[in-house]
Amino acid sequence: MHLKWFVLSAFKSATTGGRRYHLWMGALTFVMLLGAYGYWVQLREGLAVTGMNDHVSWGLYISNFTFLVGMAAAAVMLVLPAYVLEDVDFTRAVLIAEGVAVSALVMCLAFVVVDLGNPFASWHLIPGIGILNWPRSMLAWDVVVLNGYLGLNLFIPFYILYNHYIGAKPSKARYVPWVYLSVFWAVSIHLVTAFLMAGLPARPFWNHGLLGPRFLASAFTAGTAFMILLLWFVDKETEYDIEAGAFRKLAMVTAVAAQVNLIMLGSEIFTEFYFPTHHVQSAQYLFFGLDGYDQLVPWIRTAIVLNVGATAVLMIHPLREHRNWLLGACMVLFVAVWVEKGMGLIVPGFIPSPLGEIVEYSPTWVEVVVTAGIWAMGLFILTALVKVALPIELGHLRSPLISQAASRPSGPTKSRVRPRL
Amino acid sequence: MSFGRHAFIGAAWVLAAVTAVAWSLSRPAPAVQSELEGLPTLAPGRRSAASFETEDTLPSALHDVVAEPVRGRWTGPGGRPLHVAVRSRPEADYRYRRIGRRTFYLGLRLTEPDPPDGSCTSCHQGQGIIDGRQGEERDGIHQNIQPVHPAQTGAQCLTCHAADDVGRLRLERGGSTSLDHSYELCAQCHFREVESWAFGAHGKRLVGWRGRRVIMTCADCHDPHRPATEPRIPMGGLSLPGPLRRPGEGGPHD
Amino acid sequence: MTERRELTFEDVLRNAGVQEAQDRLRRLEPDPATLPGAVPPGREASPEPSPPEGGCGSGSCGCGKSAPSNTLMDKPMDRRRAIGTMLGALAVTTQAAGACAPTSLESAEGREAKRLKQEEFFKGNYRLMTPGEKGETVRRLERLAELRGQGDVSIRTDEALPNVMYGYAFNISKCKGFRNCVDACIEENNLDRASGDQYIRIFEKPDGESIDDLEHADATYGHEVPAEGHYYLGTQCFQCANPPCVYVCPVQATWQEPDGIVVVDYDWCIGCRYCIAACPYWARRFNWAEPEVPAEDLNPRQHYLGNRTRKKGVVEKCTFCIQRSREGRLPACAEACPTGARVFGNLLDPDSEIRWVLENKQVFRLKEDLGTEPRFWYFMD
Repeated sequence: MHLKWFVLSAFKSATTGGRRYHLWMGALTFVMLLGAYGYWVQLREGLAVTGMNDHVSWGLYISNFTFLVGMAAAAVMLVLPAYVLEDVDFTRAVLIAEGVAVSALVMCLAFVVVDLGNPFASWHLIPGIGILNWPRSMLAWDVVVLNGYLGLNLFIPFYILYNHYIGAKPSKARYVPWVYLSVFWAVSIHLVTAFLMAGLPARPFWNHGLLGPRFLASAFTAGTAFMILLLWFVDKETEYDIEAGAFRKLAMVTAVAAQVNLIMLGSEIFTEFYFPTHHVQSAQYLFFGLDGYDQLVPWIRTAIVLNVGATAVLMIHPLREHRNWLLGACMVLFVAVWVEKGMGLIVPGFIPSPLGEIVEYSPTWVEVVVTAGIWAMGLFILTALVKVALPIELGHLRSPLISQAASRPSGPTKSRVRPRL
Repeated sequence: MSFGRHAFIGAAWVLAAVTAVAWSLSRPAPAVQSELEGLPTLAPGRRSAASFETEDTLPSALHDVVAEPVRGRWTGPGGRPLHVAVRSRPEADYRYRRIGRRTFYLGLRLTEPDPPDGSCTSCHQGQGIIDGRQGEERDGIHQNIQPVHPAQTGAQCLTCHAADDVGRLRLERGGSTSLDHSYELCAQCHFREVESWAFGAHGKRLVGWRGRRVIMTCADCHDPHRPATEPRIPMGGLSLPGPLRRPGEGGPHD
Repeated sequence: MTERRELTFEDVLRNAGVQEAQDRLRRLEPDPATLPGAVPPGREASPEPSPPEGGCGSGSCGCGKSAPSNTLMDKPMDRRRAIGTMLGALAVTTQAAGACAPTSLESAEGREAKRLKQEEFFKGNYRLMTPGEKGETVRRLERLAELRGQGDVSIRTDEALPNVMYGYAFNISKCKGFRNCVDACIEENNLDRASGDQYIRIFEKPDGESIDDLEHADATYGHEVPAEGHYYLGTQCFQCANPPCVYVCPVQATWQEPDGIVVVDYDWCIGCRYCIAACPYWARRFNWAEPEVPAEDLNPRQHYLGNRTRKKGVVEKCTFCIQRSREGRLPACAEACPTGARVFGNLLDPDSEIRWVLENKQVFRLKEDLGTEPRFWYFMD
C-alpha cells in the first residue's frame, strides 16, 4: 500500500543526510536529552526547582508558550496567499510554513505539559473520561483550538505531500475548505491565548482590549521574520528554490506587522503613563522599575530599541530589498519580540501581586535546560519534516508502486529513486 | 486513498470533535452562588429564626465550658439567648484551646487576676481584712494592679468593688454583681461596647458559630485596672518568599 | 514584700505548666478516637508498621477492617475505567519511576500502597462521585495515611449544612497584628512547614492609607505590635460569590459548595495554576514541592476538601476550615484570635452575629469594583 511506503520513505529521508545534517540533528538530540534530564529532576522534586513561586506563578515556560503560539499562527501569512489567493510565489514556500506551524504547536503543547504540576493527571482534560470546562475556561478553549490547529496543519500538508508522493494531483475541493478553516483558526488560536490572559480581572496589566490585537501583530512580525530566515536557508542550502517574490511579500508583511506592533506599543505606553494610576504598577515595574525592583528594565528597553531599529530598517525599501539587511533585521526582530512577548508580558503581569507585594522572578537551570530541550525538539521536528517534504516536492521521492499502476498519471520519475538532498 | 475515505475520516474527526464538545457542555457547570443582593433570609419552609438554632450541634468541647446566661437586658441579635463563660470555676479553662496539635492561648490580657483563683474573701471581709490575716506577708499581693483605668477616670477602689464584699462589683443602680458578670459594671460607662459585645461585633465567642452562644466576659480580655491591649511580639515571622520561622523558634512568645 | 514583676504570658504558661494545660484540655476535649469515622481505639500509630502476618486479607491485623476486596480486576468496568486501565500500564510505570515511593517495594504493605495509589489515580472528580465512591476514596486515603504511619487520621466527607452560607467579618480596629490566626491556620490545616506556606496574610498599613490600597502594606513585620501610627488588616480566601478562580479551571477541579465555600479537589487538579493567576486577592497557593508536616504536628481530623494531606503539584487554599465549620465550630483563625477581631457565621440566619455586623456597622470589601462579591467584610468599631 502507498501509505506504508510513504511512511518508510519518509523515515528513511529524515534519517539520511550529509555530515552537517547529522551533526545538526545530533546536537539537537543532545540538547533534548539535557532537557529530558532537567524535566526528570522537575518531576522528581516538584516545580520548586524552578524559579516560580506563589506570586509569580507562571514564568519561562508560559512565556515561551505564548511566543510560540504566535509563531504557529504566523503560518497563515503563507497559507492564505498560497492556497486562497493562489499566488504562485508562495506555492513552494507554504509547505515549509506548515511544517513550522506543526513544530511550533508541538513545542507549545510541550511547554504547557512541563509547566503542569500534576502532568499525569492531564487525562482529566479529555472530555468524556475527564471534564473539560468548555466553554467557560479559556484554557479549555486553548486546549481545543491548539489541538485542532495541529490537526489541520498535519492533515493539509500530509494530503498534498502524499498525493505528490503517489504521483497524483491533490484535489483542491478536498483540502481548500480545510485551508479556509485554518486561516480563521490561525487567528483564533492566538486570540484565544490572548483572551486567557486578557480575561483576568485580577491582572490589570493584561486586562485590556489591546492584548489580543497586540498578540496578532507581534506574531505576524516574529513569525514571518522566522519564515524569511528559514526560507532563505532552504533556498541557499538545498535545491529547493523559493521565489524572490515570496521573500519580497513576506518582508512587506513583516514590515507592516512590525509597524503595527510598535503603534500598539506606543498606544499602551501612552495610556499607562499619561496619568498613571495604581493599575499601571506592572507597567511601571517593567519599564522603569518599582520600589527598587528593576530586574526586567534592561531587558525590555533593549527589546524596544532592537524592535524600533529593525522596524526602521524594514521600512526603508532599498534596505528591505537587500538580502543581508533583511536577514539581519529579521533576526533582530525575532529576538526582540521573543523578549517583549515572553518575559516582558508574562512576568510583569504578576508583579506586583494582587495584594501589592513584589517578588521578582529568575528562571533556574532546570527551566533553562528544559526550555532549550523543547526548542531543540521543535527544531528537530521541523528539520525532519522539511527533510521529508522537500524531496517529495522536488520530485525525487516517489512511491515505488507508481510504475506498477498503469492508469496513474506519472510523476517526474518512474523508478525507485533514493532520496537525496 | 480515495475521496470516500478522506471524507469518511474527515467526517469522523468532525463528529468526534462535536461529540466531545457536546459531552463537555452537558457536564454540570460549576455551582456558583448568585450574588448577595439583598441577603436571603429564610429558606422556604422555615417558620422562624429560632429554628436555625434548634439543636446544639457542637462537639462536647463547648458543653464542658461552664457558662451562665447573661443577666439584664442583654441578648444576642433577634433576642437570641446569650451565655457568658464563667471564669471563677478553674476547671473550665476555656482560654486554652487546642487547634491542630498545638495549644493556643486565647486570652488577650496577659495579666492574671490576683489572687489567681479570684477568691478575695480569703483575706477580705467587707472593707477590712479577716482577723488574723492582717500584716500577713503574701508575696506580691496586689503588686500587679497598676490602677491606670482608675487614674484616667478618677475612680477609687470602692467605686467598682462592692463595699460589703470586695470580691463583687458595685453597680450604680444599687446592688452588686459577681466578677463573672463584669459587663454589668462596664456597661455603665461603656454601653456602646457592651451593646456590640452582646450582638457579636465585639469580644470573643467560644468554640462554635452555631448552637449555644458562649462568649467571654469583659475581664477575660481587658484587665479592668489596665484595660488597654498590651503590645506583644507577633507570632510566626515572615520574609518573602523565604521560609516561615517555625513558631516557637526564635520568637519569645510561642 | 519582695518585688514581684507582673505576670507575663510566659509566666502564665510556666505557672500553669503547659503540660498541665494540655492535660486539662485532654479532659475537656473529646478523644478524637470517639468521633465518627475515626480509627477504632486500641490501634496505636507506630512509625514503622510491620506487615500483619498472613497479609492484609487474613484478618489478623488489628485495624478491624478486612482487606479491600475490590481489586482493579473485580471492579465493574465502565468506559472511563476501561480507558483508564489501558493507560494504567504507562502511568504506573512512569509513576514508579517518579516521585511516589511505597514504604517497601517488597513488602505486602508496599504493594498495597501501590495498588491503593493506582486506584486513587483513576478516580473521578469528587463533586460527581456517589456517596459510595466518596466513602471508598476516603477509606483508601485513610489506609494510605495509616501505611505512612499516621494511623489516627480520619477524613470526613461532611456535606454542606442546609440553609447555611458562611460569611466572615474582620474588625480592623480590633486587629493588632498578633498573627495568632496565621499560626492557628498552619496548625489546623496541615500547611507545609518548610516553605512557610500561609493562607492568611496580615498587613501592617500606615494610618490614613485607604483600606483598598495595599501599596505600602507590609506583611513581613517582626516588631512589637501594634506599632504606633499603623493599623492591621488580614486577607485570606474570601470565598467569593462570583469567583473568577472557579470559572477558569480547565478541569473543574475547583468549585463552589452550596454553603459558599470554594473548594479544590486536590486529586483532580492538574496544577496549571490558571486559578492562581485569576484570583484578585492572592488567596490560592500551590505546592511547589512535596508538602511536609512533622508527624507530631499533623492534625488528624481532616476533611477531604479541606486539610487532608496534599501532594506536590496541586493548588490549595483556605476553606474557612471546612472540617470545623461544617461541624458547627469556628475556623481556626476565628477561634485563635485573642482580640475577637474575627466574626464568623451563617449569612442566611437573620439573627447571627455576622448579619448584625453587616447591618449595623460600616462594612466594605476589597476590590469591590471587580464584582467578585467576596463573602468577607471589613469593619471598624
